[in-house]
Amino acid sequence: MNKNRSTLRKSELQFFFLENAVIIVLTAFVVFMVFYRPSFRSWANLTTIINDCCMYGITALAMTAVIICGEIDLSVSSIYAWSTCLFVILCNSMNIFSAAVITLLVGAVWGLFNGMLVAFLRMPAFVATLGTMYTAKGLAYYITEEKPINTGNPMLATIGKINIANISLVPIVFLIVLAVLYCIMRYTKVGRNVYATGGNYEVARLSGINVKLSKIIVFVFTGICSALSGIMYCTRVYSGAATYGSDLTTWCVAAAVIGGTSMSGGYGGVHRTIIGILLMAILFNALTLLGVDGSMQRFIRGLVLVVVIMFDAISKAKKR
Amino acid sequence: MKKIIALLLVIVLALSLVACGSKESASADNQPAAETSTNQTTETSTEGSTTKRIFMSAAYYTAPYGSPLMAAVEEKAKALGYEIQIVDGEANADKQLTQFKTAVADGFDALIYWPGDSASTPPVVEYLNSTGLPWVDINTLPDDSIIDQCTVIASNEVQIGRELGKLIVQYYEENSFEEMNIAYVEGDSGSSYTIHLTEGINEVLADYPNIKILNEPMYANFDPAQAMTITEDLITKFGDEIDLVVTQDGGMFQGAYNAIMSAGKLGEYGIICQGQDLIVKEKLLSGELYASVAQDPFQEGSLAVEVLDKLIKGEAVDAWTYTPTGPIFAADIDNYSWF
Repeated sequence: MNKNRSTLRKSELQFFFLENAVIIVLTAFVVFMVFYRPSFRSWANLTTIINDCCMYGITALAMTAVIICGEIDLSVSSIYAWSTCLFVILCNSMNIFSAAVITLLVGAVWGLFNGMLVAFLRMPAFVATLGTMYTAKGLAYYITEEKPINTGNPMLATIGKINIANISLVPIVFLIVLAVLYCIMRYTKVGRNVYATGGNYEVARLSGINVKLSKIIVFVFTGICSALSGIMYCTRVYSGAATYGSDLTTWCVAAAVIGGTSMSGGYGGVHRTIIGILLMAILFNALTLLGVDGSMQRFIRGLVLVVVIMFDAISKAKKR
Repeated sequence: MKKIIALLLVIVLALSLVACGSKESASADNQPAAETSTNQTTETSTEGSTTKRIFMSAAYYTAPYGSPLMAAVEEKAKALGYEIQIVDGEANADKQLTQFKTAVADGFDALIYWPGDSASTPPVVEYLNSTGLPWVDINTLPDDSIIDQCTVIASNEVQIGRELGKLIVQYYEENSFEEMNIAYVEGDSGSSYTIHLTEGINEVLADYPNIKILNEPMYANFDPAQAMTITEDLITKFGDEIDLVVTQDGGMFQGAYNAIMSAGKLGEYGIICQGQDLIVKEKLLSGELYASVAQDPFQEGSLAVEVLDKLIKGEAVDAWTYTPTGPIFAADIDNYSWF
């Protein structure tokens, strides 16, 4: 009996470590950095990490919802680039609040377009959003005449410089998006439908869930969040270009997966993605502080992603 | 039990971040990052070794031009007794800004900024100037609105374009063309380099109405494979109308050269490019490439550290140190470094 209990505890412990591998690794890494590299714990550095990760983090939260719904959106990087261009152009001719509203609406239209292709035409999201990715990028090149553009809008510079204890506007916007998305996914029918659609599409459809609407909603939200990330970028660098954000899609997918959201849909949570976002940002920051050169940084970041996904796979196998 | 342990781990993480951060935050909360970092710089210098440290964020870390440039920066920095760290800025201004903030917080003594594009440079330059640390801009020009606030080590890109233009004219005159048609392969549509080179070429060709660029702008993104595809398409479209193929760098020259060779047009078309790649040297020697235009990454990298060294020592420097440029013919190859 005791032997059985001990075996049970051992396997529970194993399962626990696998289940929480990312948090454990992140905690250990932070503790290591705190003692090994004192500059890591400086307030200036911590706020740099927070300000940096929240900008892409906004889109990563929305990407998590798409993945939970059993889909993927490859067009976020292009919608982001498009939005930086559109927003900067608009800022040069109108006030930034109107420019922001228009940019967000156009982002929503891009998302709606993706959602319609996937929900009504039953196109695989991979293919549909790949097409949108090229379309949005091409349009961004076209409207900027293939050049990076900037703006001298004084209001944008003022907003960009807003900070509380060195924390900029971006983390505040990130927290608002997180709160909204978390509440929608956790406490509303829409959120439950998204989980159900991603978990088993046919069962959800036969249960009377409007699966098409669920898909459209997550894509629209992703379009809006990509545009919002683009606007946040502009508040920091006052410029837009079709080339910006080329790594956004992979970054967002990585953050969601590291956070524990299943690529097969139906499982995960936007709040979990915070762990992925933090890990990516802290790793990027720490590698620079540790004096690791650029090539090795790419290698290590890739390696971490592979290891985390490996843990995820092992953990799922254990669950079964 | 599991939930408790998970919670504890999260609390440890949060406490590590907040508590350790708050140690310095008490004094640093209301200070800009730069002031905090200046304190730390002093700390590093007094507590650690006295070797000064240079930090470089390179926008085009993986570009063929970047490798010799960064090697030259490293070599010169070590020769002058500095420690150097170079990171990949991935042509992302915000990422580069973050990298610089991280470096400043870590107590680096001087900075080298290789921007991805001009338009996004103002906030980065504003931050770099706010740190009070010596820094230089390398290779990509800052935006016109803030160029007077920067110390720049770069080619005059428009001048490189003019040199290319002059070579085109020289080829035209040497071959006694009545009219000459060019297939022109450009780099990255957004980069100042591409824009300025084309500006320089157009400036020279404006006086020669019989020299015509056949195609609309075609961008190969400095990628040999894309340059090959574009050149193949141009050969299919224009065929024998083409007299000369011009590319904006040596990598794209390689792609264009392969396309021309596959089409059996070697010797029929003249080829001119910019660059000091080994393939350029080889084809100059074989006579298949008419000429190239120099933009020496070795000199540029080395010059950047020399200028930065002067700034660190408080010596006066020119606002813009030009990387030398000029035409390279087969006879001149021994005068240049190749990569």
